[in-house]
Formats: sequence, C-alpha cells, structure tokens
Amino acid sequence: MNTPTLESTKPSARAPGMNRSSKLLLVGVVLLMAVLEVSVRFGIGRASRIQGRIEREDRAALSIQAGIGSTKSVLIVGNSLLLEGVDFPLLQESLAPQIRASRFAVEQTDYLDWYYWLRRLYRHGARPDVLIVSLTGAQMFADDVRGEYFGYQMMDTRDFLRVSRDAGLSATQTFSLLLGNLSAFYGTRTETRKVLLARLIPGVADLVSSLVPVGVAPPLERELAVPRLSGRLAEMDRMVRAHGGRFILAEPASLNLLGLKYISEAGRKTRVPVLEPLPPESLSLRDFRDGFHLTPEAASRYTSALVPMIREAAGNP
Amino acid sequence: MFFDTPVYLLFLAIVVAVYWRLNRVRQNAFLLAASYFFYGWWDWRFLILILISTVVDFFAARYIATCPHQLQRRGLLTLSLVLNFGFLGFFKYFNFFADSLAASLSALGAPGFTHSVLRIVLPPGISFYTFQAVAYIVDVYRRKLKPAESFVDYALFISFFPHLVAGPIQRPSHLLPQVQQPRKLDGDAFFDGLMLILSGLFRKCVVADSCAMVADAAFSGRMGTPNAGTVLVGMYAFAWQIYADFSGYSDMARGSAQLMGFHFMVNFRQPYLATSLQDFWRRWHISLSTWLRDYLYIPLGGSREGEVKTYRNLMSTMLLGGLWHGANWTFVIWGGIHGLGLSIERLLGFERRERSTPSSLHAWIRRIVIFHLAGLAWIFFRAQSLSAAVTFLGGLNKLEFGPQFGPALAFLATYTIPLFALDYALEVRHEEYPLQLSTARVRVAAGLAFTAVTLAFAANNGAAFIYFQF
Repeated sequence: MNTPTLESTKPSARAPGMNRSSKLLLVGVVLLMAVLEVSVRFGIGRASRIQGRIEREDRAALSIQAGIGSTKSVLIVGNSLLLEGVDFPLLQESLAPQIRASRFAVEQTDYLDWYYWLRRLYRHGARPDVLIVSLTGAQMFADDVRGEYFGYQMMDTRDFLRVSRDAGLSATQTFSLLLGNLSAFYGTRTETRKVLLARLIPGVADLVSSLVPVGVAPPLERELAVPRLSGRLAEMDRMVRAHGGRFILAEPASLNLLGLKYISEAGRKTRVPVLEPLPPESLSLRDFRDGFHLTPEAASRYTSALVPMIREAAGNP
Repeated sequence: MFFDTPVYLLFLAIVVAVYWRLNRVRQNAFLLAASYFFYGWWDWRFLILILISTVVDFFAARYIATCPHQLQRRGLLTLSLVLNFGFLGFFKYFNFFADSLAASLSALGAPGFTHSVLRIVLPPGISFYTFQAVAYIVDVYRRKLKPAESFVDYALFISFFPHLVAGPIQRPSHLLPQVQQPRKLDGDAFFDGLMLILSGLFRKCVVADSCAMVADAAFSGRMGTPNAGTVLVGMYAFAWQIYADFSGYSDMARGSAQLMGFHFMVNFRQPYLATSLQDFWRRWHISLSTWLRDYLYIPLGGSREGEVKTYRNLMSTMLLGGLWHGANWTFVIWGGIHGLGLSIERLLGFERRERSTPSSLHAWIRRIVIFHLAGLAWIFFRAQSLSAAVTFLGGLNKLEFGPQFGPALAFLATYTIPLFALDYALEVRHEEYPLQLSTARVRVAAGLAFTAVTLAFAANNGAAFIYFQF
C-alpha cells in the first residue's frame, strides 16, 4: 500500500490551483447548508412539538390588537415557570368573553430576552391592552439571553448590537447571535439536534436534560437588586404605555423570598403592579415538581388566584 | 476566536481568498496582520506580551548567531530563556505558587497568613508560543538553525494563527523554511486541508462536545455521589472528550495551515490504540512529547548516563510536562503517573518484549489495559483539585451503578464507537483523515458526510477547546 508520509501533503510541483474535488466539496457543503436551512425554516415547527408551539404562539402574539369596546386583549409572556405554573386553558376560559387572553412562553428566558422581544412585538404593530410578564425577581435581574435561539426566535435584527452591549457578549457571541437571527438552521440547531437524537436514540432527551447544568442564580443583594429591578420595570412600563397598553408583572410561584421582596419593592417604587397570586407562605416544597416548577394541582390554584387579579388590572387601565 | 465558531470559518475563508492573490512578501505581512487580528480578538492587550517576546528573541537570536564569544552567546541565551519562561511563569504559575506557599505556611503554623490577591489572567496560547520561541533560540544557539533574516518572517513563525493558541508546537527547522520560501496553491494539499478541517469539526463539535456533557455531569456531581458507575462513565467520557477535542483542534489547525500552503506536523496518531505507555506518548500530543524529549529529556542526559539517572530524567520530564498543562497539582500527579508508568515499563523491558502482531488478542488486551491506565490518569487531569480527584476515585469503593449508568454509557457509545472505528481504519490504512487514499469521488462524499453529521449533531454547548486554557 502506498503509505502517505508527512511529505504527501506538502505543496507539489503540479500546476497550481484548486482542484475539482475541492470545488465539488465546497459547492456540496454550501448546497447542504442551503438544503438544511430551507428544511429547518419550513420543517422544524412540524417536527418539534416545542418549536411548533412557540411558532404558533409567537405568530398569534404578533397579531394581537387592542380589544374593541369592553373586550380587552391580554398577553402573558414568560418562560417554563409560566408554561407549567399557569393552567392556560383554565385562565382563558375564566377570563372569557370580556378578556381575550394569549400566551407566549419560551423556555430558559430572562428579562433581556423579553425586553427585546417586546420591542419586536411593537415594531410588528401588535397592540395588546394588557401585557403581563411572568418572571421571577432573579430572572428580571439576570443579564443573559438565550444565545442564538433568542437571535432567531425573539430578536429584531436591528437590535443585535444593543443586545450584545446589554448582555455583555463577546465579539464571537455577537457574531453568532447575528447568524442565529439570519439563519433558521443556526438559530434552532439545538432543537434540530434534539429532534434527530430523539428519533435515533429513544429516551435520550431525558438523559441529556438531566446532564445539562441548571443555572442557580446567586442570592440577590438589595443594594444592587432594587435599583436594577426598578429601572427594568420602569423601562418595560414606558415601552408598553407608549404603545397604549398596561404593563403588569406577575411573579411566578416561588419559594425565593428575597427575589419576591425586592421585585415587590421595585414595583412600589415604579408604580408597576406586581401580582403575587400565591405568596410563598401558602406554598410548600410539595407544590413543586422539581423545586422550581409547579405541580398541575398547584398550577390550578395559582391560576385561580391570578384570574381576579388580571380582571381587576384589565378593568382599571 | 475558536476554530469551531462560524466567525473563525468566515475569517479563514477571507484570509485564504486574499492570501492567494498576494506575492510571498505581502503574503507573510498579511498573514502576520491576520494572526495578530486573530489573537487580539480575545483581548488586544495580549498582543503586547507576544510582541515583546518576539522582538527580544528575534534580535537575541541574530546576535547569538554572529557573536564569537561563547560567554556572551550563553548570556543572551539565558536572557531570552529567562524572559520567555519568566512571562510563562508569571502569567501561568503565579497564582499556583502563591496559593501553594500560603497553604504551606499555614500548615507550618502560620495561621491567618494571607498572600496578595493579585489574580493573573492567562493569555491564550502562552505555553505553546513560548515553547516554540524557546526551540528557536536554542536551535540557533546550538547552530542547528540560521536565524531569520526578516522580522516579519520570524514574527509569523511565532504567531501564525493556526498554531498560535494550542499548537501543534512547530519546530523552527520545519516551519521557518516554509515561511521563508514561496508557497504554491497545490490542489491535493488544499483538498486535504479542507478534509482535515471537516473531520476536525466532527471530532470537536459532535464527539468531544457530546462527551463533555457526560464528563461534566459525572465530575460535577450531577450524576450523584461518586460510585463505580459514575467513575467509569466519567473516565470514559473525559478520555474521549479530551482526545476528540484536542485531535479535532489539531486537525483543524493543520487543515487551516494547509489551505495556505503550509504543512504542520501530525499531532495525534490514534493514541487509544497504543499497546504501551511509551507507544501512547509516541501517538499523543506528538509535538509536545517530541519537544520535551529534545529540549528537556535529552539535555538532562536522556538514557545515556545510567539507569538511575534515566529514571530521574523520565520522571522529571513527565512531571514538568504535567505542570506545563496547568498550574495545579492535579497536572503534576497526572504527569507523575505517566512518568511512573514509563519507568515501570522500562524496568520490565516492556517495549523490548513486545512481539505480538497488531491484531492479535495479546495486542488488544494491552490496548485495553493502556486505555484504562491513561483513563485513570485523566481523572487527575480533569478534576478541579487533588482532593476532588481522590474523592471521585473513592467512588470505586462503592460497587453501585445508578439508573443513569446504562443510558449514559449508551449515549457515549453512540459517539465514541464511530470515532474508534474511524481511528482503527486510519491506523490500518495509514491515513491522516478517513478515506484519504480513496478515489476523489469517495473523498468528496466523505467530506459531505462529515459536514452533514456535524451540522445535524453538533452538541452546541459552547464548550471551549480544553487546550486553549493551557
């Protein structure tokens, strides 16, 4: 056998230039990426249950208009704490017909994800009467965005430099964020991989989710937390008011007393309503599936307590 | 700028496209500017350090080459070595020695001793470019190499971006002449470069990053308190993670250089097929192991001064090789385990007695034993501290296998068995990347297959290359 040596790949004396194989390979790679881009752009929503829901909710939210007459439109946004903490069909049913409730939830999202998504929402012309953000104090305090997925699903291209600055991204992360915004494949590649892996190795999703570290936020310090939370509540409030709506923060059920205390204090300072449907005293560890997410029974209790609060807020713009 | 990010691939494409439109002198100046841009992408202040080191070594080498007085030559060599190792020592080991000193003083009864909390940021790649600069200055001193005439050529030799931050550590006698000579765009070499990049991306993004998830979970305690199952899973996961990570990086570095007509030395040759520890070190991080051999082990006396000194030299080389990886006792222990293993092999005449054919049962048994020995040593390499490593290894006392053991092992097998099969094929076919010796059509298909698998299964967990921290 002709054994390649180190010299085998050294420049040779043949006519210089890229050979046909290299051109074929490069064209093939570009074509492959194009095919993947088109497939993902039109297929990921059908292939992934989670992405399908997110796309449906996003589309619906972007088309919300102010209610006519006495009917009000309410949009509630948040992360998995909203998804599992609010029995949404029950909420919709309880509020109808005077209030049309919509939901948009994206897992692993924090304040910056939603701040920039709200900018995108209003640029699209959506005008909900009441906008409810469901994030904990710690999530309102956080400075993270959900990487390229946020870029694809939630960010307006015009905001990418602002996002980079606010989230303290490196140049490489900023480039990836922009690429995620422009490419469906790049933006949703984690979802795509999950779908493929789940089909190839049944049960792998549970294993992978158990391996991924859960970010535990450090305890908030009052001197830092209250000013920042006040600034953020005021910023969101200004944006929502400027578009004719009313802004409310609904604190998800949580055993974190400090986060709740500081966000409530920030709410009082900025006169932004901070709803607390289930105070920590009324909760125990048994109400949580995993320490963070409510059990279905507790979610029903939370929803029942939230309904009158939303009614009151929507009725008093 | 990590090799597995889109921004690097875009940067590389632009550099290659511009590069081939320039003449040699402009090519070198352009590559140097691109390399400094690449390095400054992290933090432009790191450029100051590399520039000081480059300027001093460039002029020191020229003076060493022309100076007739041995004493002055030796003095300049010492000055250059002190500067290079001084920078390395300060930036890499200051915290380590300060912490160790504080701990020792406390142990000696100086409670409450606190050392200065000067925390030093480690510039990327300092260990790699320092070794390359040292090799250059030593080779010039030994009159094995003529010093570079042009500052740009020398600066490019030190800073050429494909090898700058994690090697392979290039020998001056191999790379410098390539920098100084005109390069041609060779079609086959260019294609090989593309294939090395694609196979490297597969190794890093698909295999290493997926194994990293399991290794991180096992070592961080997310898989529960250590037991036999956790230790095995963690060891296998990290063994394959670090191999796929670093060999993938090396392939991408070599491929990137090859697109510009440069050739880098091979850094890995299927190390987990080694049948002895000595064989392992002929296959693992070859650019470092040969550097340590030529610039440390042999100058210490190598095996020329009797058995006892040979063992001393072996141990010293491996301990320092371990410390080179990082300022932590875990790396020293890792080097010590390998040094001890190599010494025992030498004592038992293990290499001389090796007569089995590569595919024999005996060879496979040795491979399995060596893989597990290397794996056990990796536990020290991976652990955050010595006590963490000991606690983790203590899990072997609990012969339990948690519910995640089976699925985690299956998950690892999904990624590592294909890589092992690829490695075995490379070994048997004497190839540098899969199907290198096949027809053009098959090679293109292989490249597209790598691309498709990488695009679909890249773990996307943002894990940085392990060796970038060294």
